Amino acid sequence: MRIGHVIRAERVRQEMKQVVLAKGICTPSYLSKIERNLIDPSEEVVELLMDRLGMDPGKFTQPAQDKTEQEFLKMLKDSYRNVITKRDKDYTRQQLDMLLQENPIFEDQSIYYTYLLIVLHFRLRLEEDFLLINKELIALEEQVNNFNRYQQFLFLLCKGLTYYSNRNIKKAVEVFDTIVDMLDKIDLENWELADIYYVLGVGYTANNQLVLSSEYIAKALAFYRESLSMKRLMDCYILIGIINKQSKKYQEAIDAYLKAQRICDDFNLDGDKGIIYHNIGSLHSSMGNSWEAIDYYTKSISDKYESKSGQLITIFCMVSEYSKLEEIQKLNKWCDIGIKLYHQLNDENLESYYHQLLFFQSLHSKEGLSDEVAKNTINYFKSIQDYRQTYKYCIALAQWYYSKRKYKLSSIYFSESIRYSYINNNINRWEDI
Amino acid sequence: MKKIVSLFFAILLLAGFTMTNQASASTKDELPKILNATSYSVSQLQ
Repeated sequence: MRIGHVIRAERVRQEMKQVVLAKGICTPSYLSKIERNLIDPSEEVVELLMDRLGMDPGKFTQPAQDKTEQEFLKMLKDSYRNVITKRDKDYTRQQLDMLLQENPIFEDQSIYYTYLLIVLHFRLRLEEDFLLINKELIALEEQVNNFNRYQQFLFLLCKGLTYYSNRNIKKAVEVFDTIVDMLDKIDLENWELADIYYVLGVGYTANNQLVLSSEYIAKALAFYRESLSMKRLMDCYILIGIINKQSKKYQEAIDAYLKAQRICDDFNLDGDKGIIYHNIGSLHSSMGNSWEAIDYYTKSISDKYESKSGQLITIFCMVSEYSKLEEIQKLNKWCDIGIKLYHQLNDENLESYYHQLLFFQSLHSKEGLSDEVAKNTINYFKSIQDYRQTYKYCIALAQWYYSKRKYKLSSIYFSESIRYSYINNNINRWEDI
Repeated sequence: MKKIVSLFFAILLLAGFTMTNQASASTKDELPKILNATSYSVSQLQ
């Protein structure tokens, strides 16, 4: 069995040069031929190379248990379908462990790439270490020319999802656009197509491309309604609610959230009510009903008592409402709770909420907005290239200076806010508005 | 002079807000998860 491509994939993954791997075992040019499967090396050489790479030669050199290529591919696809359909981390972990026990080496080298891509997809779902996943992606990108069209699709999906998981929505959407272009050229089953439509719907909603997102969510929803996948259906209704809210179609947004809520009630999905309450709160906030918004945020927080990280976004939104209402005592109380929670969780993905809570706390303190806190917040959002938030806090700081009659500083930050607003909206000059 | 300054800031504010309304999803919405189930049940958190 030729396994040169396996050795190459692992060497690239470990960022090891051919000279280093070959040293004392064979010449680099001989290794190069092995990796391209141009020659059959002796078992001893294969074992030495694998040993240096920290691989278990036994796993790869034994026959692939009792499975044929077709059976192995079917097993892979079934596992992939079940993981996507169930969306359950425990189940994904179990399937990943199962796959890692398998020998993926067959005469058809292409099977190995499908195997690697599906393993990576599972790791992504398990939210494994980003650096590790990124390394795997870079190694796979080197092999992309050897991929068939379906494998290219799987690769792009992993890449887009990695960007999304790291909150680089713009980059994620660029990759999703490429996937859209290739969708009619690959033959996907309905469950897989529905999942892609859902992924595109979430991605485009996050990037505020509402026309595109509603198109894809409608397609995903049609499938999930037919297949009675109630949780997925509920997620689709939540997205439709958000899209309608963003489009200022408030009644349609309420209708969508009510449908999501009914699914929760009818199918005892109590763990999902927190997100629905949060979004109804956000809807009321947009409609100018701060007190109603706060009521729903309170319900959301108590429903999310198991998920502290899920609570933080709601706490932050609550603080925003109290700020609008100038309810300083309550604002301070929730700022304290949120900041304490952030320190408990120690999750860098939540850092943006920490800076924002500090900003609100400082803005409404007796001493007034501290320059240091304000600039830290602005610099944080600049550093993560979130120019919408940079713009927002530049405005808040400018208004603060203006209220204190510090007109020069105020003018500087108004000007900065416009600069970041331009960047956020891809505008170069005022004439383009 | 004061009127001019006020007008200047009013224009700046208007320009900024108009653009916000045109773009960017609100970070105050809680999107369902893209990969795993959204549920906050205990089994999802372990």
